[in-house]
Amino acid sequence: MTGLEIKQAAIAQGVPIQIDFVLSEELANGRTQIVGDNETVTVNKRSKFHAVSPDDNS
Amino acid sequence: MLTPQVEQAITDIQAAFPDRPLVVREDGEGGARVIVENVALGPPYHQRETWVGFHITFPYPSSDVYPHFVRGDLSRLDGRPLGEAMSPNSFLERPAVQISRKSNRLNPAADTALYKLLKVIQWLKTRP
Repeated sequence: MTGLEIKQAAIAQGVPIQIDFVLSEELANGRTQIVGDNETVTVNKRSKFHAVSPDDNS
Repeated sequence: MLTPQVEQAITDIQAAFPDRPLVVREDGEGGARVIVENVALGPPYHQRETWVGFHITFPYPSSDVYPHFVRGDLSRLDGRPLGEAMSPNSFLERPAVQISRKSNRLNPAADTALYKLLKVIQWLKTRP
């Protein structure tokens, strides 16, 4: 699934995020990586994602 | 002495960058200035890696971690200026480029210093 598809699925299931949130995945080795909207990742039952609002230039 | 929340933020950052040295300077008010060394960079920049610095202040997580700082000699492969939200400054006595990316929709329950750092690095790497 792409990062965008993951966010769309989460929103459809009522997760309180917005489509422009920045998605990241918690990896098995303890690291965390950003998943871009067009980036494809493998999703399974143990997958953990986090989404936070984007930042603005100031 | 660091607040427990600032301490946890630093622990989380070290866990996410286990093979990168961390510089931590307590600010005397419960917060800390942190530098993550040797963060991978590459195109659109000449430099293959940079350090990334930021100040986690004592009200964290209620306060945004902002701005961030990277190496002062950062330059683009195409010779263009670095662009918006980037300006010369210094951090912990290092010449730096300040990256001004503010979390205007900050959610203290979700927006951690780690996720902010990852967002800033991602933004930096994906400049057009």
